[in-house]
Amino acid sequence: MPRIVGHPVRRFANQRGETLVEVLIAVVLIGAIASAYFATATTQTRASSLNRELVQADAVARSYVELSKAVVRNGCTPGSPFTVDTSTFPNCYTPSTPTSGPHQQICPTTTQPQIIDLTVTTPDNTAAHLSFEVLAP
Amino acid sequence: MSRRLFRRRNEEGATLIFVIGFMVLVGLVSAGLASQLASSSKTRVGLDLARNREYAADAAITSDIAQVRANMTNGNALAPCPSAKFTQTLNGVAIQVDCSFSLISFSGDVLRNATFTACPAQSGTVSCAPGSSIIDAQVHYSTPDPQPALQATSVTVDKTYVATWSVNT
Repeated sequence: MPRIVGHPVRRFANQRGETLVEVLIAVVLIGAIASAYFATATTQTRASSLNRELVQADAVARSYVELSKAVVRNGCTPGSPFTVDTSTFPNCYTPSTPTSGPHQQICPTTTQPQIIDLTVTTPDNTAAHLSFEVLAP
Repeated sequence: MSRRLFRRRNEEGATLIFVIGFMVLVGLVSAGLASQLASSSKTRVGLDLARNREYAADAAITSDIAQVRANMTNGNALAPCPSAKFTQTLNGVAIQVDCSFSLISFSGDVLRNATFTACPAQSGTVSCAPGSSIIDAQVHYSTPDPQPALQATSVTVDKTYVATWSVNT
């Protein structure tokens, strides 16, 4: 009996100690890895969202440019501001042009093209810029 | 003794293998996501560059169309293309426009047509290389009646018509 009692008690004590250390190390490692993973995943999600918004902003900018050209082509008063119908644009994507300065949105003449600076603001308040030029036919 | 060693080896390695497996799995998933994100970002940046290039070329040709029109009314109606290569920078892209003008008498009418080729700016007076053009355009300059003589050096242009507009992306 003493042999049976003695050996198992010492062996179980050793095994419990090693397993506990291993589990603690594993928990710490898993925690660190999980934290790093979630931090990475969060960053990637934000970057992906930003990327998607910039792609959408690019489409809005292109649409705005072509609509501006159409307005000029259909006739507008040289030197006066013109407007573009943005009702079909997605919400929270706001195109804007300078209200003063050389590159504002005014109707050009037949001999002097007008460069217009366009800025599209995304829902995340990121700005996409595109300059374009219009000329009266 | 051998039984004890065997049992201890199994128990000691299990957690480590589990951790390593977990790390590898998480690493693969993260690497896959990062790769996908990097790819989409790179694609978007490429599209942005292409868009900037296209609108810069568009603007440069538009400016050159206006320049030719102005030259036609200023005594250069027979050779209205600018003598120097027209260059313009917009959206951070420098563009050069090559211009050629043709004066054609056709059934009593005179056709004043200009061909424009926009490409990335070349050094010196080098013309756009074949295959490097971004936009090729043909523009017709219309003059009001009564039509000016074929050899008139100054003409009034009332409209410009874009006959062709080819974008090479």
